[in-house]
Amino acid sequence: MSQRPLNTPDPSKPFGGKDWDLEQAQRSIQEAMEVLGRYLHGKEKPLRLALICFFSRGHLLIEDLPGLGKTTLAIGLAKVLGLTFGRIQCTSDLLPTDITGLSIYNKTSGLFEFHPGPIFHNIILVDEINRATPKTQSALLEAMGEKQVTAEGRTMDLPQPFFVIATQNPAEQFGTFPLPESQMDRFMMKIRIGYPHREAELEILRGGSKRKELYSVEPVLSQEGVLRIQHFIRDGIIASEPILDYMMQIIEATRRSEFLTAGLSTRGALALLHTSRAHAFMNGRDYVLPEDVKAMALHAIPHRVFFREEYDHVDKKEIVRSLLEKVPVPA
Amino acid sequence: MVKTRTALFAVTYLSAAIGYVTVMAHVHPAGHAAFWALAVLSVFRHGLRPFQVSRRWLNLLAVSVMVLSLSRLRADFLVEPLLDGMLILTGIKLLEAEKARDYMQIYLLCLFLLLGSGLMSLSASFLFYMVPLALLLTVSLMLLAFEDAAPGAALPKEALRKIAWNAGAMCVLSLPVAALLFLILPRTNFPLLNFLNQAAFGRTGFAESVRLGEVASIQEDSAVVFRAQMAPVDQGLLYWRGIVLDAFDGITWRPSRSSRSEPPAQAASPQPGDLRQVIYMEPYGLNRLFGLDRPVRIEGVPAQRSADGTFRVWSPIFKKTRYVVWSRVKTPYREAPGDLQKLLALPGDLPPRIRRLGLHLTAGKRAQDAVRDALAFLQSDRFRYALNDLPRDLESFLFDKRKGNCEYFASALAVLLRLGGVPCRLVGGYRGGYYNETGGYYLVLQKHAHVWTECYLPGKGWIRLDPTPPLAGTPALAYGERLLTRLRLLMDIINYHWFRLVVDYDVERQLALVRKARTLARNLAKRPEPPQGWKAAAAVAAMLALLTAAVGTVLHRRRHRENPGRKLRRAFASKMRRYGYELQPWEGLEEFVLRLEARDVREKALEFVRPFNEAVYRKGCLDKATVKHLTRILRDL
Repeated sequence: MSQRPLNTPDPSKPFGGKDWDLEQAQRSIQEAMEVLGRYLHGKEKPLRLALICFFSRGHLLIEDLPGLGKTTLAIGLAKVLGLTFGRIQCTSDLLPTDITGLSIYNKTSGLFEFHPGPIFHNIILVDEINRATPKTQSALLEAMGEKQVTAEGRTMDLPQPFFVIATQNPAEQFGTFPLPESQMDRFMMKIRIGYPHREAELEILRGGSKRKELYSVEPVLSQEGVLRIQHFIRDGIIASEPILDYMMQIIEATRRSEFLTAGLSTRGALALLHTSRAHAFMNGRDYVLPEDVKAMALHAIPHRVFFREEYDHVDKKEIVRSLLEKVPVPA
Repeated sequence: MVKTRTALFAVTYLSAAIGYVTVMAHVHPAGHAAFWALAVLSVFRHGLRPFQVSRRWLNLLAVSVMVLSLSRLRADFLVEPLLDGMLILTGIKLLEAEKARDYMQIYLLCLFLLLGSGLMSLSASFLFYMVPLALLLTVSLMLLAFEDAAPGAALPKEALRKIAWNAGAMCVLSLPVAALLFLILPRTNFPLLNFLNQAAFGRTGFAESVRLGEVASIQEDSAVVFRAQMAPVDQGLLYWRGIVLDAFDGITWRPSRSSRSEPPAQAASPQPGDLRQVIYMEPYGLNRLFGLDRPVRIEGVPAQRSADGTFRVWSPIFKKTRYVVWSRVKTPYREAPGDLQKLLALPGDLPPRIRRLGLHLTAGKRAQDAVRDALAFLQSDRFRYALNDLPRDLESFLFDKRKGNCEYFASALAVLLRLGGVPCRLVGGYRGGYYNETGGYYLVLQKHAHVWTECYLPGKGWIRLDPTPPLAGTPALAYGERLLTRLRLLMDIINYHWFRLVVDYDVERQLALVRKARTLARNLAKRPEPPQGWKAAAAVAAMLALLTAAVGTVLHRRRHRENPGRKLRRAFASKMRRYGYELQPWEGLEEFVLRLEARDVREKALEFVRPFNEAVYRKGCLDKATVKHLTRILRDL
C-alpha cells in the first residue's frame, strides 16, 4: 500500500484559482533568481537551467569538476523554493538502504520502525553518482523514475516535488562506475556549470564563501506554489501543432543523422517538450516558441543519443546544433 | 560549377550562329567562307590558346573588309554588301573576343545581321530568330556582369538556370511593352524600307508578252505571287486576270500598241453579285494587278483601268501591296469588243497548213459553232499537255508534236478562231490556287501562271475559253496532304498574317485603330445594344473562357495556397535583408531579432515578432485581421 508523505500537499488541486496568479509566480521566480544570484556569482545560466529542469519535473545531472558550486546550487534552490534538502555522498560502499532508509527494531514498541533515508526530501543532491556501485545507482534511478520507494515490501511515495541533482566528475575515472548511456536517459538534462567568469570569481574571493548565509535564506516560494507552477507548466503552456511538428522534425533528424547511431527516445522527446514548456514559462510566455525548443534541445538531447565513435570527442552540443540548423522553423 | 567564361563563350557562339543562319541565304560565298574560317579559328584560339592575335592587325582587317563591302554598294544593291561585311566582322570579333566590349560588339553585330535579314525577307521568320537572340543576349549581358565583377569565377548550375529564367522573364515582361510601342509609335505612310529591299525581288513568272516555246521553268516555281482573301469559290471560276494580249506576230503574243495608248476607262462601280477579294500582292517586278476574271474595280491603290479589263499601277510592284478587287465572274461579260480589226488580225506569214486547218474547222461557220468545233479539236485526245520537249512553233504543235503547255493551246485556239472570223484575244494571268481554310485565302503561286483565250460572241459578249487540258488531279486537294507541304502551308499562314498585321501596319491603320477605339468607347458609353448572331456566341465563349480561367486560377491558388505565416515570415525576412540581416530558415524570429545590433531596428522588429509569434504559436492560426495588422506593421518597418 502506498502512503503519501505527510508534508506533501495534494498536487491535483486545480491551478489558476483566485489565490494563484501566473504573473505573481513568474515574479517570484524572478525574485528567487535574484536572491540566488547573490550567492551564486556568475552561475545564472546553470541556475536557470536547474530551475527549468525542476519545474518540468525532471532531474538534473551536472557533469563538472568538484568545487565549482554544485552543492551551493542545490542548497540554494532548496532554500529559496522553501523545500527540504537532502544530500547523498556516493561512495563505492554505499548501499541502497543508505538511500531509501530502513526499518529498525524499536525495543519500546516492539515493532520495526521505518527510518526514511535521505531520499525522502524534496531536493536531493547526489554527489559523485558515478562512485556508487551499479546496484545503488539502480535503486536511486528507480526512485527517480517512479517517484516512489519500495523498501521491505512497502511502497512509499516520495515527497512532491521531487528533484534530484546528481553530479558526476568527468576527470576522475579510476574506481568509478560511470553511468551507462541508458541510465542517462533518466535525467532530463545534463549541464555543466563551468568556471565563473572573472568578475564573479573576484567577487567570491573578496567576499568569501557564503554557504553559511545560504542556509538562512528566506524562501520566496512555497511548496504548494512550486507544485502549482509545475502543474501549470504541464497543462497550461501551449505547445501548438506547428511546434509539435517542429519537434517531430528534430526528433526524426536525430534518428536519421549520420553522426548518431541511435536517435532520441520517446522519453527524450517528452523531455524536450516538457523542458521547452518550462523554458517558455521562464521567459514569461504561456506558449512555446521554436526558440524554446532549440534552446532546450542543446541540453536535453546530447546525453540521450548515441554518437558514432568517430564523433565521440567532438563537442556534442555542436553536433546537435548542426542538426537543428537543418530543420526549418515552422511558421 | 560552370565557369562564367565558358558559359559566356557558349552563349556568344550561339548568338553568332543565329546571326549567321538568318543571313545565310543572302550572303556571298566568300562571306560564308570567311565567316566559317574565322569562327573555326576563334574556337581553336579560345579553346587551346595556342596563339595570341594582335588587335591592331584585326582592326586593320575589319576596316578593310568594311571598305570593300561599302565599295560594292549600289543604289539597287544596298543590303547584301553590308550583310557580307557585317558577317565577316562578326567572325573577326569572335576571334578577338576578350573584353566585355568585344562581346557587346558581337551582340550588336548579330542584331544588325538579324535586322538585315528582316529587310531582305520581310517575313515572319524574323520573329523566330529574334526571340532566341533576345533571350541569349539578355543571358549574356547578365553573365558579362558576373564576369566583370569576378573575372574567372565559376557559377553553380543552379545559378545559371536562374539566370536563364530571369532572362526569359525579362523577355516575356517586355513583350506587352513592345506590342504597345508597336501600336502607338508614329508611322509614315511612305514605306521607308522599300527602297532598301528592291533588289531582293525580281521574280518573273509572268511576262508582258507570251512567246511560244519560251516557257521558263515558271511552271515548276512555287514562289508565292499573291494571296487573295475571299470565300472559297468554284474551282472553274479561278482565273486571275492580269494582262490581255491581242497582237500575234507568228511567235509572240503581246498587247497591241493602240490598247496601251487607250485612255483609261472609267472604273465601274460594283454591282450585286460581284465578288470582293482582298489581294496581298508579293513584289514581282511588273505593274499589273490581278483579280478574279473579270475585275471591274480596284480599291486601295491608285490603279489605271484599261479598256480590255485589266488594271495596272504606275510603277512596277516592288513591295508587298494590298488592294481590294471587285470582280464580275458571270460569263459572258457584256462589253463592246472595241476595234474588231485588231481582234481578227493574223500575221501575213501564217503557215498555209494552219490556214487550211482553219478553213476546214472554223471558216464560214456561225461563231458558236466555230468555237465549239475548234475547242473540240484542241481538246481531243490528239493533244497532250507537256512542259518539256516543247514544239518549235504553232505549226509543229498542231501537226507534229501535238503537245505543249497552255501557251500553245491558247494561241492555237485564238488563231483558229480568228481564221474563222471570231474576234478573240489571249488573256494572261493565273489559274487556280490553293485555298487555305485556316487563313481564309487563296494562295497563288508562280506555277499557276496560265494563258487562256477570250472570244467575243456577237450579241452575247466576251466568253472565256480554256483549251488547255486540265492537269490530272485537283491541285488544291493534293497540296495539303503531305506533312511537309502542310507545314509550309502553316508557315504561309503565319507569313500572311505577319504581313497583314505587322509589315503592312502604317499610319492609316494606326488612325483606323484610333477611330475604332473611339467608336468603341462611345458605344460603351451608350446603352449596350443586344448582341446578335456570332457576336452573342463569341461573347458567351469569352465569358465561358474567363470563367474557366477564373475557376482554374482559384483552384490552383487554393491547392498551392501558402501558409500565411510562412508568407509573412518571408516578407519579414526580405524586409530585414534590406537592413543587411539575413534570416536563416532554421532561425526563430525572436532569436533573430534579439541578435540585431541596431537598436531601433530591433525595437521595431519586435513589434512585429511578438504578435506574430503569439498568433502563430499560441493560437496556431492566423486570421485575416491579424494578417492585416501584421502586414501593416511590416509596411511601417
